[in-house]
Amino acid sequence: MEVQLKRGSLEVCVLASLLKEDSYGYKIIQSLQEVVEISESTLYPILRRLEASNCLKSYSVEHNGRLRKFYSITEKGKDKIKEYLQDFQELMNIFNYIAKEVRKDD
Amino acid sequence: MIEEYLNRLKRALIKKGIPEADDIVQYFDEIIEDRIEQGEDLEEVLRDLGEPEQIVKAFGGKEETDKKEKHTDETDHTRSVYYGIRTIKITNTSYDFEILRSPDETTVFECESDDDTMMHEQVGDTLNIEQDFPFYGQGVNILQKMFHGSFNGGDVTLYVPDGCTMLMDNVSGDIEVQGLRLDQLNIDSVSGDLELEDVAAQNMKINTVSGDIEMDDIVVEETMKIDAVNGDYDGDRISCKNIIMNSVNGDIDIGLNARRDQVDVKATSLFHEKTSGGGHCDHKLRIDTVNGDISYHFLTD
Repeated sequence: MEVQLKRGSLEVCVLASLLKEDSYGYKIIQSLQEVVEISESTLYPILRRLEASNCLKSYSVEHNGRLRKFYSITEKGKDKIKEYLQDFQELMNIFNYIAKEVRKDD
Repeated sequence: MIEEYLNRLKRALIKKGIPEADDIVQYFDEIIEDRIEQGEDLEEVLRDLGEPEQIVKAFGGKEETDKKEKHTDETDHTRSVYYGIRTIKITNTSYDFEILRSPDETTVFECESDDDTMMHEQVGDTLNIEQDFPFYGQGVNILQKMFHGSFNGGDVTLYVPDGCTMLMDNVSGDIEVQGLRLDQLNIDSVSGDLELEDVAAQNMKINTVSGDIEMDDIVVEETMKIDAVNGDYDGDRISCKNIIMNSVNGDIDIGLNARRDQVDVKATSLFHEKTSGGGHCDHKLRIDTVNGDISYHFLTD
């Protein structure tokens, strides 16, 4: 998939994984791996960017004698998801147009 | 074995000049522990993650230009990371700025433009960001375009670390500032709109000609001074004990994080009604307009 498109989509994917409940690194990767290829190295900069742009917040919780970093989505993060879905509608229109023209060509 | 792996990772990160090395190591430590807890074999996990030197390649580092992101419409994307910045000076004509809080002590400058006129350079502990605007020989058209906002040229996203001083001179770009914790914040704008959210500073001085100012959740320790000619000011949840506002035509609407009985208000308008009150309190609100409407409210109002 084209780099720019995928990067934006991955960010929104991560945000969406936090909608139902807060989550942490390992768990986020587990829940996304069924949908898209995402490695630990890919996830880190995404979490960084999202936190820097206030789309999510982080906090630490003790777990078995170590600290686990949890992430929670913010209102701005939810807006970003909404925006993505709206943009996607436009993308669908473009897709349908292209598919239609390709069919004509056959 | 985990410690050895993480040490290698940390060394590789530091070698590449990545400032968040500790954070990144902690992140991987957590993930490794989680995977082992879920029953995976340590050796397999480390093999799956890969050699630390390989991982580090995904994390960028010093001055970085994404050459592969140059599109055929000639849009340039640049990203530069700066260290040790205490002062940021911005001279902008037409780019839109999104200024956010840096999660660490680095200053990150990201720019997307199709005219490549935004220069950026570190001099000592100052970061100078200046748009080299191609004024000459273009005549009145340039001024018209500027005021009608049809000159974009580009978008800048800037991540600013805590404690900095930011001085900005802006003409028509729209400026969004969010989450900053600054020492001094000065913004001079002509027609660009300013939006500030969750910003804290020792001192704040904002000047606008026709651009509108919107601010929410602002904390200023000493003095907040707002000067507007035509632009409107709309502020909410403002914490500051010394606010001085001057406007010619712009309307002022400010909501303070203080009770009515804490604030000494002097609001005068040449053509509109005057109000004052509050006596001698430790919060001062001074509003002066010629033609603008004045409205202020407090906590529990």
